[in-house]
Amino acid sequence: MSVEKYLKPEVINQIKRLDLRAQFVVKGFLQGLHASPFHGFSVEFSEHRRYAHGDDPKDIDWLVYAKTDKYYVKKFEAETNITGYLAMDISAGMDYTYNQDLTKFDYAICLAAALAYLMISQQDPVGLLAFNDKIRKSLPPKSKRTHLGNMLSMLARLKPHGTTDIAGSLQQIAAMLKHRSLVMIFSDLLVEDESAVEDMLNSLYRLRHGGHDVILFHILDQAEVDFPFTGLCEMEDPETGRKIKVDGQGFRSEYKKQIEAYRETIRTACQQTNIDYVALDTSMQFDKALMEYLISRRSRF
Amino acid sequence: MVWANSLLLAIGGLLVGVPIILHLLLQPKPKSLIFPAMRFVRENQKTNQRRMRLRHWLLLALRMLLILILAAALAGPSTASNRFGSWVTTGLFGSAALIVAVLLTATLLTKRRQNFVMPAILGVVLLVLLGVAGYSLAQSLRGNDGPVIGDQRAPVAAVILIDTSPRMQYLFENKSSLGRAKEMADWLIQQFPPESQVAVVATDDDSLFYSVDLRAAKKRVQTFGLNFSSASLPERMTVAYEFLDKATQARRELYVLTDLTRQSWQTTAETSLKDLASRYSETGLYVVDIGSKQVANFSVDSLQLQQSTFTKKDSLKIECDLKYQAFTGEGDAKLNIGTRVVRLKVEKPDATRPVRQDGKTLVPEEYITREANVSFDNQGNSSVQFDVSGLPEGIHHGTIEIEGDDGLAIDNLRNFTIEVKPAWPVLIVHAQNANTGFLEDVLRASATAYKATVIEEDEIGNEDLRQYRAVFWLDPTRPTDTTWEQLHRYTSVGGSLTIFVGAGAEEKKRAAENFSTESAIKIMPATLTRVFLGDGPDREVYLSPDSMTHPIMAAFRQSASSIRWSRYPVFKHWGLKQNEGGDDAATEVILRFSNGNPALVERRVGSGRVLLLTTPLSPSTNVNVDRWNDLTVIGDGWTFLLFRMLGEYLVSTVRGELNYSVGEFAILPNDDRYFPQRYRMFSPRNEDPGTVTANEQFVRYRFTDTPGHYRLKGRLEQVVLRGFSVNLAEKSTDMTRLDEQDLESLIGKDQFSYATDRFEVQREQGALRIGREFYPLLILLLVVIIGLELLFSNFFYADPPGR
Repeated sequence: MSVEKYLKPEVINQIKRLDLRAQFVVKGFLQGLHASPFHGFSVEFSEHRRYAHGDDPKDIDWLVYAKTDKYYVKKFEAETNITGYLAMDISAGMDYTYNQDLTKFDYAICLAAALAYLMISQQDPVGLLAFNDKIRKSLPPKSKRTHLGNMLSMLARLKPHGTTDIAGSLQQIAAMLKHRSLVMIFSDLLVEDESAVEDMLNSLYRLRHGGHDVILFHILDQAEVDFPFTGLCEMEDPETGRKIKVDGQGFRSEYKKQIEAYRETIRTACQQTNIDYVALDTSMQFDKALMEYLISRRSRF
Repeated sequence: MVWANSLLLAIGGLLVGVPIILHLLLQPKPKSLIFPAMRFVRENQKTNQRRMRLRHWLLLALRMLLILILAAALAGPSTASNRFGSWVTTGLFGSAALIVAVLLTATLLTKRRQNFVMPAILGVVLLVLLGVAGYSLAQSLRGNDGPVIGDQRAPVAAVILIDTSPRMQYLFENKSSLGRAKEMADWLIQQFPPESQVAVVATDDDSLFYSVDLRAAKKRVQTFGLNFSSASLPERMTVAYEFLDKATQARRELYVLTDLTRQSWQTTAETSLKDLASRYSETGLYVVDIGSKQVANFSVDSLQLQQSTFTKKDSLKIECDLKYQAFTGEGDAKLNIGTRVVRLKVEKPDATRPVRQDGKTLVPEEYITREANVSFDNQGNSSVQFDVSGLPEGIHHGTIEIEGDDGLAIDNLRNFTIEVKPAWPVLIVHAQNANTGFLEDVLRASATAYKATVIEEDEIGNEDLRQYRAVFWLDPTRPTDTTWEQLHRYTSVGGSLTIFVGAGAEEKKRAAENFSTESAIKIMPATLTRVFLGDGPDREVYLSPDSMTHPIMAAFRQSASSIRWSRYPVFKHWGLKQNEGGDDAATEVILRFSNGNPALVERRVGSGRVLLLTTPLSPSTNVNVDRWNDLTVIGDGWTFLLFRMLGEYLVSTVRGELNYSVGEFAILPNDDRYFPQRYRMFSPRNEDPGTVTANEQFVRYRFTDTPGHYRLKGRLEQVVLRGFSVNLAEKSTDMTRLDEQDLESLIGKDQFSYATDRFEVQREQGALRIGREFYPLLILLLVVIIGLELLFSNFFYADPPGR
């Protein structure tokens, strides 16, 4: 049995340690790539070239000079690294699943851990931001291997709570980031109303205009996509506590249309601003999200 | 509109409330769910709730309609007229079509226009409903001859025919079939619409008339009792059909309340029931089966007396066939019934009885009883014999009864009447020279008692022959026409005469001519031709019986081949030829000689009989006369036995039958010299005795409608007791039943309605009396409603795909 099975949420749920989860997800993903166009993502130097005027003398490879009596400088991959930020929505609404193995939050954690693992193994510095109505926790980006442990331990300690204010939180993040970074947002994007959606999109634009690359992982529970309920149901909002009675079957198609329209709205908005939008639900394998990251990374270099 | 069972409709009406109660009281509690994406739920909540409520009401309405239609269908709605029925059908299916049309429009106008399954199904249903409604409307507009609308309670002309045969006394669950029939008739009368004309008639009743009103009809039913000589149902039905044909009402009904026994439906009528039912097809025939399907019945089927009149010397010999019938309704029951006791009882002749006392008829005591244990074979048959001797002189009434309980008690007993006489008075008439010693010896040694009077043939004119049971005429010479006429009178009323012809017939030349005169051939079995001489070595012949079927020959059947008749030679005998213009069929040769000539010949004359022996039985005392035969030589005693049997055969002729079947005319000879002219008749009906008067030497009595002993008590010098017995006709209590298929072959398929209880009668009435039944249509509608309900509930509450 290959490690690819760990890409399935129901399998990864059986592993409790987050570091192992991340490791298995990434290994499973990489094994599945085969003749991957992304071959060579590692901490290797990529090329030697003749020293030219203006080059930093620090970069001269003295070993080569000893052998060849010529100045060469070596160019390392460190030059291609980007700083990544994992922005996790930890509002109470994320702690939900109807009949899946992982909640939206668990799913987001697994995905974030895997991405952190992947990035750090490529010596990309990665930081962590957790927000609900504002940024609640943060970890600065680093690329050391020891940093991964810190990242994962923080991720493991995160508990979803409170209401969400994505727009405000994203504005905070935009203000916080000094350098051009890759911001990966993990959220269900469930906001109060249309104006909140607009605010949220504006905040995303602002982040993008700040020069950051944004990947938006829109994570919904499968029940939030398919609405599988039957009969009379009384539904309660976990964030506001409001209750509504609806007829499951009668409501399904209308609901699905709505949620699809919502996803479509965000996708369109993201396309316009070159934000990568990845619509996920908790029944999907992790590789879709990872692939999205790699494609995004490649397109940058 | 008529409902066969309006109670069901009422119950159904109440049950319609059940879905409403379920809807109002037992609304399911909503499932509580946490759901973060509430924004999208909230936006459509109002539309969803409105639709949800609409669907609930729609399904509720469909379910209520479903229960209502089911109840209506089971309640058996119908209308009196076809036309009205067509209107109702049009309305029913038109309304249904309207509802479906509304649903279809609503479906088409909803947002689900892209789903064509539901509209397509609704469209097909709508077309079907419109088709039925349209067809029905066409029928209504075309019109028919049926009764006008609202005529369903129109008065009817009805005849209720109740079987009152003895079989209807069969008791099942403590109630007789007749009792059940009366209850059913009573109920039927209650059901008739007011102003109906009802005639109630029993199978034994000749008078068929409409009762004044329904109450009078009910009273008349209660007067019916069993009748033992009932006519068969088909005969009475013929009369009833003809009677109903004259009715002014358009609606005519004939109800036959029967236990459906095969006997009741047997007919000898020329017109078959099938023809009758098709001829009067407008008259509704209802065969109401009120008989029990489970039958267990013992019966004394038949009773044979060897003779009903005999002498003290004789013994009473009775043989009875017994029958056991058992049906369970599911085929014949196993006839494992062990043994039963059959008891014979004979009353002692008692001059003081019968007598009426305290409203009862006291009858003589029983003084002889015999019992026998009988067992039945697999077919339920058995027989028993009784032999009683030493009965004193007089009239004896008796019974044979099979003991133990069964459903029908009336056939467990049979009655008989016998008469014991001191001795049979017989007359021996002889020619002057004839020797009567041998014949007298034969009579004296016989098993029965004779009182013989011997006279010479010249004296016969002075004798009143009626007092003699039999007359023996030995060697007649010169019989005159007066004598022949006298003998003819005697034999034609039942007298027995034996003529032994011999030398007397040839004493004078052409004497034989006296035996072929016009008067003589009225009783002579044949005409004498000439005297034959034997052709053996000593010119003899002998008796040579070739058939043993005659009762006289009964004693020789066992040893026919071992008897040496040649030891009784006959030297001379008369030859015979057929009488001129005579009837050969009335003459039988009982015995022949070895040369083939007849020896003993019998002829029936009136109710009597004449035997002719062609050789004399009286050796002539005149030595000059030739010897004719050696039949009177005792020898082995065979000829002695032959003439003894002849004597017993002659007196056994029963004059005046003492045992009758119900309904038969009882006739007793009543010689006014020995019997009184007036009698008091004590019938078994336990009523005060009436008077019966003899007329022309006979007592005639016609009211033999009840089985039992009929006792006549008169007085001449002293009390004279006479009587006879009446029994049910043989097999009249055969309980074998017809089934519905038998009835169909008897009356014709679809020519009658068969019912076993009130509900079935109502249902059949509904079908026959009423123009149209809505059951099938309602069931069709029910199917449509069930289909719609399923369709909608599946459509509304379909499982999400992939789950």
